[in-house]
Amino acid sequence: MTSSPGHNAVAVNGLIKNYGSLRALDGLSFAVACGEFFGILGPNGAGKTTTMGILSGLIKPEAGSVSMAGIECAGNNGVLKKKLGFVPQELAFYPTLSAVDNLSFFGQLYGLQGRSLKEHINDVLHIVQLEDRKEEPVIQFSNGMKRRLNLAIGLLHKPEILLLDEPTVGVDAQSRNAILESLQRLNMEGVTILYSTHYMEEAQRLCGNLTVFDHGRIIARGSPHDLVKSLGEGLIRVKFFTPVQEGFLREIHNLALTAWTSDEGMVVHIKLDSRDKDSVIRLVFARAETWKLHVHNLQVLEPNLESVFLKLTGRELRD
Amino acid sequence: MAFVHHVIAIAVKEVKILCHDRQALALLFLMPVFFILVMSFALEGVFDIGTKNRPLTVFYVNQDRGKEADTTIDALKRIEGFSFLPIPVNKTADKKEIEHLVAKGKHHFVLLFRDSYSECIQIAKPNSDRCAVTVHLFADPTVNHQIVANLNNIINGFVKERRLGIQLQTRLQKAFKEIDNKTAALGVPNGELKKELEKMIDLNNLLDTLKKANMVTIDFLGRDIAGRRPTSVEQNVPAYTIFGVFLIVLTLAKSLIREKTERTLPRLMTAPLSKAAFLVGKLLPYYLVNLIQIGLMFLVGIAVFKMRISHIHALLLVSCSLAAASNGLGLLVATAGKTEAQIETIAVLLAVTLAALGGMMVPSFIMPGLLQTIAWFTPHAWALSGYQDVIVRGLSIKDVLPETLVLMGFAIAFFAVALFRFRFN
Repeated sequence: MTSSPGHNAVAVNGLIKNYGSLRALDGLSFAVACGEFFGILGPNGAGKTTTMGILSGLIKPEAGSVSMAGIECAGNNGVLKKKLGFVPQELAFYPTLSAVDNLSFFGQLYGLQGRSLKEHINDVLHIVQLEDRKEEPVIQFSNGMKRRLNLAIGLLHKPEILLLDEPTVGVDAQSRNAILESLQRLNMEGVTILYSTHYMEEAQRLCGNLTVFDHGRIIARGSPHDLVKSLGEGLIRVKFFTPVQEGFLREIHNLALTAWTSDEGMVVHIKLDSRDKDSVIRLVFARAETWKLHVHNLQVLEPNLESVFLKLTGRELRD
Repeated sequence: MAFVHHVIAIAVKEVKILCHDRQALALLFLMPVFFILVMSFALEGVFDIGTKNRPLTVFYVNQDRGKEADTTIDALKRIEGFSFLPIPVNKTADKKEIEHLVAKGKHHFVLLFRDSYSECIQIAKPNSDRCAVTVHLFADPTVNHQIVANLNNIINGFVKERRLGIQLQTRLQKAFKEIDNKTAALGVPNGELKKELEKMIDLNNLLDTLKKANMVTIDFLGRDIAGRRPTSVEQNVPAYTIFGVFLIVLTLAKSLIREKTERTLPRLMTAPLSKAAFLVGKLLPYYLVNLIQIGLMFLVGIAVFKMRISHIHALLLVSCSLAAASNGLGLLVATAGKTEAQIETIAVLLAVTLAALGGMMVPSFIMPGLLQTIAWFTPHAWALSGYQDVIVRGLSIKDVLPETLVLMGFAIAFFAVALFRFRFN
């Protein structure tokens, strides 16, 4: 079930993909080590699904190359496909059939038959905790259960590399937790996982390494810990009724604080350092009064991946 | 080997899905059977009318003062497929009274022999208005005009024949008599020349031949095989079977579009599965369903209506090529829309239009000439022709080869265009 050592499980080099005039991926490159839990974090439209589509062989890039498990991805490569498990963002199974029928069908496509097929089905049903509902038509399942089945189909043939494209979208907390725990267990067993999400809590909880995407480009990469650490003690986000003046920003910098603007100068982000955050807020308010700026609202943002994305793009991750 | 396993896996999955879809099953199996039963019973009269089993009834009113109307009616009564009955109305009933009866829908056809019928038949000056032989045929306007025209031709023929026979006999005898009179004056014994002339002309034989002139015997193809004429069932069973077979277009196209809208097709394409295996596995169950449909429909025809099939191999050959054409069209329709609603609209429109054009709902021989030509551009018309070759005409495999080849041509054309247009991703 694990990738052979000595090479990257996934190597992506210079991927370019356009949809008409829109550049979805702009020279994307990254590598994923064997056995890694690798996150692809970004807002909707960042290029995560396109990346997953290319990795799974569904989308052809205009330029660049992909190799997985040491095999160059080109054409309909049956050997590579057997090593790969794909869990799409959409629920992709046959709703009028039961969970067992769905799993049995997909298992046969991966060459599983007879006893081996039954064992694999029982294993994945156990992993996603659907054993007691396995004979029911899937159409009667809750959304969370459907998501778990969607995951189970991807796991069924015990792939070396598992691609998951936002597998928990619209799932209740209980099902989400069950899915995330299953994935953590699989990763501990040696499965390389590429996990795309726009939920920073998931990325923070699961991923050893991640890349942050925006507009088809990687804007940051590293471990969640390192990325969050770069934020120091967090961020203060101040929104004004009018755009701030350059002099105001200069004065904030003179206080030895890192600050930048967004939303056409209406919003100022200030990186917190070791100083007490209340004293920093008081300083900011005092300078605002001097520059006759009226505060619309103020937020103190904890140091997390959401704040990292905000720092990098000036936008929130869920925008 | 993997290809075969994949095909079987997809086909089994498809059958399971189809078995859960009661609406599709009802559409594919119950609807055509229902049509066959209802339409065969309902249209029995349309197809069988004018046959020995179901003669066309024509009422008559005989006001003739002489005997000629009786003779004509006796001759008409001998025609197979017609039943001439006296109408129980006053013998002096006028045209209006009879028209009223027909208008009320009480009788579809009424013949009126006027009181001067015998005189007019016998009068030797047919150009004079007084002796114009008139037989009135009152016909219900709702009745098929072709039937009216046929009846009119038959009656006309009989009246003309009767008149010609009488006129010929009268005139020849008059001529012989005059010749006799003139030759008697020359010393030829009275009646000798007349006898000689009658012998030479063979008058009695001539009159007999004249009487038989209209007795054209029509031999229907297949009569010798089945011993009877085709029935409405033998017309309707193949027609509505073909109609039912092409309903698979809707089911198949919807199934294919669902693979896309439910995102299972992209998922399948990430599996080690070839596109060919996917398509073969997907189409195979629908092809078999088509064959089961055909078998079931013909079984209904045999069991309920005692329909006879002489060459089962020929029937199977036409059926296999028909199922290929309908599956090809299903795949083609699947490439013509992006949503189920679009597919449904296109498939239903095609199913009804092609069936109507191909002569499934209305026999093509009663369509206008242009539509009859257009019908041959539909696979339906070829399939119906093939089935009728087997069932109605009792022909064998070699006789249905043209229809089979054309149907296979349709199938290849449909598949080629569909595969060119089909997008897997």
